[in-house]
Amino acid sequence: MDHYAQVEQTVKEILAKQLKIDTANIKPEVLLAEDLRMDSFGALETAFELEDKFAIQIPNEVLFNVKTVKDIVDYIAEQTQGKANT
Amino acid sequence: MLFNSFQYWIFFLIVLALFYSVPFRVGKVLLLCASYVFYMWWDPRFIVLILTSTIVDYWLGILLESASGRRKKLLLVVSLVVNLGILGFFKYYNFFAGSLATLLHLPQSSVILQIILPVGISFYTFASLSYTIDVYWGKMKAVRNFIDYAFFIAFFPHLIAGPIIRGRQFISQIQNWRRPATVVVQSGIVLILSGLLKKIVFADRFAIVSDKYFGDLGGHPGWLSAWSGCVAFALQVFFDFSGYTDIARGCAKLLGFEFPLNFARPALSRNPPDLWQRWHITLSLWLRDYLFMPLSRRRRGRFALYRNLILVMVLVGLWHGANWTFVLWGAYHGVLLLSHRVFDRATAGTLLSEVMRKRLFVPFSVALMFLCYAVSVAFFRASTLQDSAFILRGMFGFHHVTGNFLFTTGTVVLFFISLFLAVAQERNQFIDRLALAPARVQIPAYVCVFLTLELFPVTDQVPFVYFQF
Amino acid sequence: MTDNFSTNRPFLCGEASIETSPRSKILYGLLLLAICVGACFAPPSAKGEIAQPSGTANATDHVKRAPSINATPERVTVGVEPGRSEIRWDTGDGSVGFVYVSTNGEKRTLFATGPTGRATAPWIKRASYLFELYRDVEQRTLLAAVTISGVSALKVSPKASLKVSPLTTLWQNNAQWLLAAVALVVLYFAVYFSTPGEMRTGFPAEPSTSPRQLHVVRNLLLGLVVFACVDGAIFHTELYTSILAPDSFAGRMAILTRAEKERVSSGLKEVLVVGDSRVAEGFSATAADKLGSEGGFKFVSLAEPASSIDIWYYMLREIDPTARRYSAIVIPYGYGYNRRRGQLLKIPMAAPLLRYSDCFDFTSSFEEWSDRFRAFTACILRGSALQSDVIDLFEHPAVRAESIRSEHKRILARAAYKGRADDIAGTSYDPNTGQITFPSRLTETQREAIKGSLQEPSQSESEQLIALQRQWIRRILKRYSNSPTAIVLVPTPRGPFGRFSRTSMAYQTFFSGMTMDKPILSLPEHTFDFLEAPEYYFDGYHVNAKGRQKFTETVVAELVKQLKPANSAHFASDPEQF
Repeated sequence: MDHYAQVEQTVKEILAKQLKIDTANIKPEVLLAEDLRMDSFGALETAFELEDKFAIQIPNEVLFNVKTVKDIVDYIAEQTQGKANT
Repeated sequence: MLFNSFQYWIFFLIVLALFYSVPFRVGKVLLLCASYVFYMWWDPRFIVLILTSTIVDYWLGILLESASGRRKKLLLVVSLVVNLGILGFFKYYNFFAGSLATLLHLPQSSVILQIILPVGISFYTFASLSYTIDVYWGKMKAVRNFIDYAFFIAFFPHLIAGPIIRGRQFISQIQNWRRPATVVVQSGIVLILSGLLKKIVFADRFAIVSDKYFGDLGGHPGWLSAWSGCVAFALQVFFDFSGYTDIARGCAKLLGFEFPLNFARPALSRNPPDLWQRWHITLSLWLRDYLFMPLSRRRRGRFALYRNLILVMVLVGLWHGANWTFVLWGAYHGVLLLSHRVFDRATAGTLLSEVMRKRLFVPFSVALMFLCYAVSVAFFRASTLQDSAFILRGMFGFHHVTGNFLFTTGTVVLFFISLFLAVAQERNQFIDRLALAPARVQIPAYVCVFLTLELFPVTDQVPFVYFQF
Repeated sequence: MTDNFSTNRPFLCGEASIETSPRSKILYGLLLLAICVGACFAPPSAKGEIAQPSGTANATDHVKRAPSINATPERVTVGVEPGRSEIRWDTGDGSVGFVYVSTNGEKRTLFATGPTGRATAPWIKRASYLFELYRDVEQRTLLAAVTISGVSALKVSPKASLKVSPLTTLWQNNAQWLLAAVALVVLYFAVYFSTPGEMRTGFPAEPSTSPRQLHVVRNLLLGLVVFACVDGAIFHTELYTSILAPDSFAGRMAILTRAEKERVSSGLKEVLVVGDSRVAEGFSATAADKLGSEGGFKFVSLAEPASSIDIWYYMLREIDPTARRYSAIVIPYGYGYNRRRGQLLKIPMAAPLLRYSDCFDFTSSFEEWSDRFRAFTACILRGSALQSDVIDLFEHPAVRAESIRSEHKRILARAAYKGRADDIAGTSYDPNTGQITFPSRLTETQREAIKGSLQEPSQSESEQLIALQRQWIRRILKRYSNSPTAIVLVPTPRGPFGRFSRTSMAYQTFFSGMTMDKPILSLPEHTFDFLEAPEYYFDGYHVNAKGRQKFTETVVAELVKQLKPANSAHFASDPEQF
């Protein structure tokens, strides 16, 4: 499994746990707020969990501006690219 | 000089005319001077405070940029101490000293000082702090032009009651100022007119109902009186504050500056987090970015998050005024947010959550949220905790009487008119789009607004509610 | 003073909505529905109409009385309209009491509160109402109670009434709940339509680009012009003037001038009397007609409370466009009272008479800039001066329709008015000590008015008053300069203790050194000194029925004497000869 797919799987799992839904329902293009009804509090808890998991820091600007699941995966994949390669 | 006074509009028109008759670098200085004149209109002594805060933060900003390590931290602490010190002394000294005196059974007169609260201090202190913190975090460069910085702090449309602007967004606007496009001028005019309508026609009319109730609580027992009084005040405070913000944003647009949105139909909120994304948005965002997030990043865990939330909401309450009623108001909203979060987590994925998502259910959520907000008015408007208790007892039927329906025919109709306007704006930005409308729509709209302002204002000038904060 | 127009009645707003898209048709429909709902909402729950809890009970000086509550009348005749009764209560010891009402033994609702007071219940229907005075909100301690029964005025057979009543009562009992339900349904759909279903995450700001050229200034100016025209079309025409509240100052002024304009000439020598409340109480045109009939005189009184000389000028312009209608016009002069109040009332009062061209003249009658601005606006945008009237119309449309229907009754009542019967005889005033002694029967209002009338106008106040009268007399004379109409100046009696006043009512005090466009007649300075006694007054300013008769007699006698054809040659600008 490549790095991107790995990140995607982990993000989906964390989201599914947070939102109590099935991972199958979480498609990359799904909108977090509108479709998954994630509020800012949920976003925060998820973000902290992701930060701990991937050992990165998600700045506020990114945290409050991501729209879709793909946005998160893209950001994390990019941030962790270097770590994955080393 | 209130925004609903004749004086202000004379002042504004003169400033506008002068500003556009000179090049921007002169116009900038002119606007700065006008802003100081505007501020000194209340009390010339206040100028010392605003100048102190401006000079200190300008200088600290430059030092912060090049500093590092402990020195950098120290500089930030200096900025926090100076700004919050001024705010704390002028706004909260009597409150804390008085509360302490009560606790220690000391006479109140021994600690209470005769302090006048300088207008707008809560607003410009927050604007100034956002700048030093952003420079500290390296999110923006320090400003190297004192006029620009002073202008950012003192620019008169936002000076007295917000919206709370941030250096990051605003200083670049000063540096890259351009003559506003026609459509911006047009929407500025629409904003000013809508603000005047909100204040003079809507807010002041609901104020008559709420003043009747809150002015004589003892004379209005019963749940119907309590709910009418509180709902009336909830509407009054929204129209008052959002009317003020509209005028501020409109005036800024006419001068070629953009202020962020501060209200987005809060009465249509569905749940507590939604409310705080629609009500006094600039304050919510400020506290989220500069208080809640730094606190939450420091210590992880759900419990810490919830604790921070309550803490921040209590501070939101205190920001509104130095009174235990405001503390309780903030705490109440914190508890609402928290309960919603817990409820949401508990019901996630269940049938109930599915039902609540349905469009058919939305009006019920909105109604519940609005009623919860109306309950908070019992803390917000009452001047003592005893009064709050009296109102709450009335609201929940402990008076064993019905009480009077305080709304009059006119205010009921006004309520529905405002509801339909809110719905139209929520759906398709219909008020904002007036700026783009052709003459055949725009002119009748102007005529309606002018006629309403002519025939239905409350003639006694009522000051804006948010001036006291 | 007569009924003041209540300015603080809450109001109703007109269409503040500014619609664009066709979608908004639904909104308009809903809006109309809402207005209907709103219009019916308030009345059923309206309680005490004019609650006047008299007082904040001074704890130190109250005398303990037995708690009481009574109603006048206790038996209310109810016709098609609901009946009314006045409730008075007194807790007796100055503590706050709570008056509750229950209909036919049902649940109690709060009616009024206060240590003492009175309030009107204007909604008495065919039922039994129990009014109870409680010491506490929880209704534990009952202090006193009274029952009002609403009885039908219509003689209907028990059978017929049985036939109608169930449905009617059902409607009456449930109307407000039905309205509340309709309101909730409207609310539900409004909120439902506000959202497509999903939560919003962002709110777009105002547009920053436009697909086509915009004309900001042009549209704004056109908007202003159309607005001024709409205001003119509504308020500068009969459209609105004909539905002004007949009890308001503006409405009374409009009705009076309209009636006088439409009155067919009697063919006699018509004498017009203008003036403020002192002349309105003091002069009776009906009595004067009887006294002056021998000389072929017919008297018309257009005296109106709170009016002043500038308003009389505009009134004359309206009712006498040719300036030849009357043989004589009687204009009182003297010192006014409560000037600030007069200034506030002046604008709405003059509003139905003002024209666009008056914007500078009328403005000059005011001293303060804010008042001047309002006066100027009133001429250009008449609607702004009639705000409270418009608000009242929207708030109580049914009441307005009813009062306009009974307008002619008011005109008749005006002609039949005989003056107030009571007097303040027994009141004495010592000018040296300033001590006033009142007989016990005088009410607080009368006492206050008497005290107020004894305060001498300040130097600047007198100067301003005199300047105003000089300015407008000059304008009136100019208007009548080529007319056969005689202008008669009459000194107004100063009050029950006028003889102690330092103010002079001499013609010279007011009009000395003025160049007149026309010779005038003036009644001698001391003509009415005999009237300045408590027995002729019912308060500090106004004469009673007895004084009214005397004043009218004296005015008519003097006029008949002065206006004899033989005398007309003696008209002179110097009135000293009288």
